[in-house]
Amino acid sequence: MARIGEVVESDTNGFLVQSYELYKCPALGSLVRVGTNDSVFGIVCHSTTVGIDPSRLPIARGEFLKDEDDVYDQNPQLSRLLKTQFRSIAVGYKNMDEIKPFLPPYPPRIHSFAYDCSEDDIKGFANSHDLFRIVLLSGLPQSDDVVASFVKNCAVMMEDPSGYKREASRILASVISGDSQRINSLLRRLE
Amino acid sequence: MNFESSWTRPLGVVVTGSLGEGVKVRLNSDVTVEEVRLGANVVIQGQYNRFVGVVTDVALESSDPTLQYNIPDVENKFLTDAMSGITAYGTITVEPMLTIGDDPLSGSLGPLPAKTVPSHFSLVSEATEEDIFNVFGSETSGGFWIGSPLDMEAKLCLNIGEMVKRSNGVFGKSGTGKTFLTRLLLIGILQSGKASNLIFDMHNEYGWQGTSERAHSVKGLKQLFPSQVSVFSLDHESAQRRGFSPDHVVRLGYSDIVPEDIQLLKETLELTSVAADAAYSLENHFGRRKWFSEFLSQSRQELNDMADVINVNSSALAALKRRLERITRFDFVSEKNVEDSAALIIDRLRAGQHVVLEFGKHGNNPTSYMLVANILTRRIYDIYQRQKEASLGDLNQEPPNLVITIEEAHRFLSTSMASQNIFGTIAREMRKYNVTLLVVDQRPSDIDEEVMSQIGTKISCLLDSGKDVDAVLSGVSGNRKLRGVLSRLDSRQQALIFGHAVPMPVVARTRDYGTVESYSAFAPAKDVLDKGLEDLFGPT
Repeated sequence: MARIGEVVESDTNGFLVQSYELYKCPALGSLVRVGTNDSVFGIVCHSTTVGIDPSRLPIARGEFLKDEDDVYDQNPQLSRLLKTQFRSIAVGYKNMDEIKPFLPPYPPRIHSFAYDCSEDDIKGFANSHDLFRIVLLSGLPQSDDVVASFVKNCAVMMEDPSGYKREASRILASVISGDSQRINSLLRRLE
Repeated sequence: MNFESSWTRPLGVVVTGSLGEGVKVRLNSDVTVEEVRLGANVVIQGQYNRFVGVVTDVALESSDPTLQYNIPDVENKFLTDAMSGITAYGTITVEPMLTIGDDPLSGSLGPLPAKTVPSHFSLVSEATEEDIFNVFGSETSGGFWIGSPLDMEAKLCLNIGEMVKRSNGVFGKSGTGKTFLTRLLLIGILQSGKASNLIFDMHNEYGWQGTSERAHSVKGLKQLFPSQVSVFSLDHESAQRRGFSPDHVVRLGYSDIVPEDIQLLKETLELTSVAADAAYSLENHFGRRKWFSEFLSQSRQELNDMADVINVNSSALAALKRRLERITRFDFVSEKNVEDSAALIIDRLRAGQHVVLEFGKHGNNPTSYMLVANILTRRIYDIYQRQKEASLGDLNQEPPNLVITIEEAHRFLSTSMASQNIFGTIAREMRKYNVTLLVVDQRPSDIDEEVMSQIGTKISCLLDSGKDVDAVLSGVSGNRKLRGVLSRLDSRQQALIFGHAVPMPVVARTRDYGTVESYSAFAPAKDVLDKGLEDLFGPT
């Protein structure tokens, strides 16, 4: 699968990947894999584009230009001064060719390569109660959107997308069964 | 026992509970509460035992206490499907009644009363026909098919042998099928041969033919078992109008009436206690067999004189005389000596016959019903008591078991009456003398508590009044939970059965009665038919 970036920050719960190309990062809720042998899987839960040097903040440059692309055309240094990063929640790992839907025993190394995931990998996690649980209980404000996006991404790959959504929605409801309003709000994102 | 083979669709798993309160079962997400009915039989596969229980409550619950305030969009099926059975789910409460051990030894002991509860997460499923067979037995093992458990086609059988050892009761408000149920029980007793029946048939429902709620006629015992049933009647004309001739017309003499009868009739004759008690003084004065006729023949002056002699208020005596004259107006009461009907009944019963005493037009009059039932039963009591005592020295003298069926039983067995009449005595102690009662009543709360506590098997159709429900369930373990079951029975063809004739309380849909098919199921066995022919025409 395509290599998309490198791990620049890593801990037990997740990792931060810097994309090789500015603005080229996987969509929210995408499954990514880092590392080649003992791969760790993560779900993209947050992405940012910021200046490389924290002391040199980006400033407005397009007041007298016709469109946004002109800003980048006339300031070619920008693509070297900005970076795109995405953060992923660790949701599983590969051990002896077997995917385990739990937190990895060790976080990925810095500079581990990050890849898009294959359809088979994604289907392996599609009905994972543990994946849904890890993300929904992560405490992130956007966790519901992350899970909803993941489910919608998976549904596209399934033979019976609406059947899959129904099944996934019942798993989601069971994870947060004590909060019916949140279930409501989450499931509305799946329709 | 291979439990796996008899496993049906799982309903849910045990999540909490106690022996006192019953176990709570969370229904599986594919089972809705609407599929489980109060009173249904379920089995729970515990770690070491299989439990058989009754559903005593059905509830809707939610893992989110705020769900009742934040109702989701009920039009959105995707949403409701996802939440149903997960956030919003059903539970049932099951009262474990019996256990069947998994190992062959305890399996061979049969079902035993549950003395523990199944462990957490034990699987619960609907009872199978095999479970019903294991618990309630079958017709081939001597049981009498009374109906089917709720939502099942399995045959639910009563142990008639156990039933007739004690007094039994059929309760239920008017129109719920008490008479049909009683007819079935009487047939069960008749077919089992475990006892003879004597039925005081107030409304002419059991002897020749009866009527159903839909106003068509149904066969009585005589039509179904002509050679085994004798119909006695108080009202020959009524029997003829209904197209049959009774085996005997019952007449009572004045000499049959004793002061105890007057005590029983105190309410229906509207007598004061003083007037009713005066009968005892009159009995002392005139003698036991003559007091009634002598007293009624007294003139007003003689009454006044006698009042001083026996030390009773003369106006009370006059009132008593006026009320007793009502009895003399019954055409079955005669001043002359009459044939001893009680002895005739006893002869029939000893010959293995079952006797139905129809009251004809007199059934509508509680005074006549109570008077006749009391007089005849008292005579039978005396004879049975003597025979039983004689049988202590000679076993051949042992009288056969007798079941006496009385309707409107609360009139005989109310708290104030039960200690004074023969039915109270039978209910309390006549088991020793092989006589038991089958009481049929719509007001069980009016029956004396002590009498109710002696009733072995209770079969109750729907009861509305809380007092009646309490009276029927008094002394039953888990009665608080059965209360809900009893008060929510269907108003037709459903009854809660509990007591000695069944190993556990069970709600039954009573079997059909009144169709050609139902009659054919009651057809007497060939040996019984042969005996009937032999009785008629002599041995071949």
